[in-house]
Amino acid sequence: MVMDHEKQRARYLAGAEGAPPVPPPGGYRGARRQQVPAPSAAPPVPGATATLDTGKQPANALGWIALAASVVFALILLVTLIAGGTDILYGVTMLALQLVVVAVIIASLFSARGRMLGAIALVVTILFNVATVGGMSALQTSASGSYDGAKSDEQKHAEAYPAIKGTDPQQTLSQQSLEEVRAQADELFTDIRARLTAEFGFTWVQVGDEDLRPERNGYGGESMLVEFTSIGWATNEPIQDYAQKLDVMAAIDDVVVEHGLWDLYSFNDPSNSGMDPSMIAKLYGSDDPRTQDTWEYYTENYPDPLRFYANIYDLSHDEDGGFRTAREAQNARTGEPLEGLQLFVIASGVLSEADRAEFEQKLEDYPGFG
Amino acid sequence: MTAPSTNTPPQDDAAAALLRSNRRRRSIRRWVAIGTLPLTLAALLFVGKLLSMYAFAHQAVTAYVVDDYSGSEASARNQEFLNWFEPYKAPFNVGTALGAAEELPEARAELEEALELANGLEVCGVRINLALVLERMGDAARADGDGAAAAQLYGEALTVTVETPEECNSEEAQQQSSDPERDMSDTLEGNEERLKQKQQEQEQEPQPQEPQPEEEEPQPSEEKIRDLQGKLEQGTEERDQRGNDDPGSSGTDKPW
Repeated sequence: MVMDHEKQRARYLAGAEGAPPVPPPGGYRGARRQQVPAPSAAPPVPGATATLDTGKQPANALGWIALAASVVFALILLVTLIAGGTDILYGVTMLALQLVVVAVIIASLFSARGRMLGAIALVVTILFNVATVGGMSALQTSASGSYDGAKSDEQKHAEAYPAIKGTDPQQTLSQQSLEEVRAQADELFTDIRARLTAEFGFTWVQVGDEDLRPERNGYGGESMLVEFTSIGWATNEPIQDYAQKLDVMAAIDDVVVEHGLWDLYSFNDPSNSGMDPSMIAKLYGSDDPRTQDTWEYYTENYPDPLRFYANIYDLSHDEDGGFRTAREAQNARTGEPLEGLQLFVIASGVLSEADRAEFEQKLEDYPGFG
Repeated sequence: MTAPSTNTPPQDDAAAALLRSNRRRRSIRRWVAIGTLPLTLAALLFVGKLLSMYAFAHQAVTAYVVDDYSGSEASARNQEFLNWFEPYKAPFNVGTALGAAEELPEARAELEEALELANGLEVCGVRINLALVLERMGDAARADGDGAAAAQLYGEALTVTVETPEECNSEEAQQQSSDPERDMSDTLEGNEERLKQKQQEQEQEPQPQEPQPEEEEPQPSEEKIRDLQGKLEQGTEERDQRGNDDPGSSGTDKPW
């Protein structure tokens, strides 16, 4: 008996300290659940849902085809997106393929054994389709501005036209070059500064940097011509007296005419401006030159491209502080004085002498252009 | 004699209960589907509208780039359906395409509508293109010999340009520009200067007058005539040069 007792102890406790005891052989009494027979003999009811546990059926070929088609098509879309083919994504071919994929998916959803894979394919297609991937690609194209892929070879050729559409290239070659405009502007500034310094005692400060801006050719590309904006020159002294303003502009007029330009004319003076008085008031603070905060005079050396501007800014006629604010903002950008006289030159469509040979050579590829 | 038994086997009761449960579940599903159908349709419409905006805008730009202005306009017109998001873009794109196709009055109407719908920095590009269309209308009027109409249109273009908000000269505005290759501030400045010159030229252009006795009006000097002739020729040249394949000279010439 002692041995049996020890055996029982060993059975429950040996090598399993703290573990619950295992059930006795045959299990506990009453531990078995009541087995209820399955209602397999229930009579069929019209419209009832089948509830028989028939076991897991493997997916049919239609489901697999739907899944494969949706995944492969999504991959094609993504590769096209990476390649930047937005036009291909929105093309008829892709749209037709998308419809085929959708049709296969819908067909698989009507098949009991293809429904699960069809549903997965549907999710893939909802996420990656012509519209969603096309939208991403359109955004990418917009950000990069690369719409050139849609152009024909002829259009791409025209895009590289070196001159400007509607302008005779020979006129471009015969007019002042960039270097000549720059030289004439420098001479003009030098003479005007000398004259005004001698007459009015002005001192001068250089304003801004020279700017060369490429000009478009009218065929969707850039020409070889540029718009030249000279450095500016500004007086350190304000010019607020009406009579002195007139004298200053008259002195400048003398110099520009000596340099072969036309007479100066005033944008701000209603007596000879082409703008109506309300616009003059909006641009120059008033329609009366005596109370204007800005004077703007202009001339040119047509048929050459140089355009000359002489502006006077006068803070003494700033009625509401708005003009001072604008001038201070400009001062912060360029460092120019808040008021006084400013001179600068602009020339559009000029060609650098360094580019002349290349310009002429390229023109040979464009007979009939212009 | 015994009464007929009404007892059913337990498995029949379970099957009937299961079928009742199934019917109830199917009914709930049906009503849930019917109840959420409007929401589902609205969601589909919303997503479809958003995605179609990208597609139509891309097609409008692509067609414009290859000079297919009617195609560009047609694509932009598709943006007008349920035009709830960034509503200025549809008339802006339509107006830009019409402007490029030289249908200037129609382009003007569309761009003016776009200007009313635009907010904040959106107005910058709209104002630039509207001013360019007005300028080209002025050029056309001048070519037809209607100097008064030309001056009026140049003035309107100048007003549109001058009233452009100062914010359009900011870096943020430049980042939103439809033409990132051109500085918006430079474009506005260039347009303003050119319009001033055109108005000035128009002012100096001799208007057709009734024949008058010679002694009443002194004849302009030969130098003055040469001056005016030169300026007129230059104006024509500039118009030809700048009125190329886009509505004007500036950079903001793409629909988007």
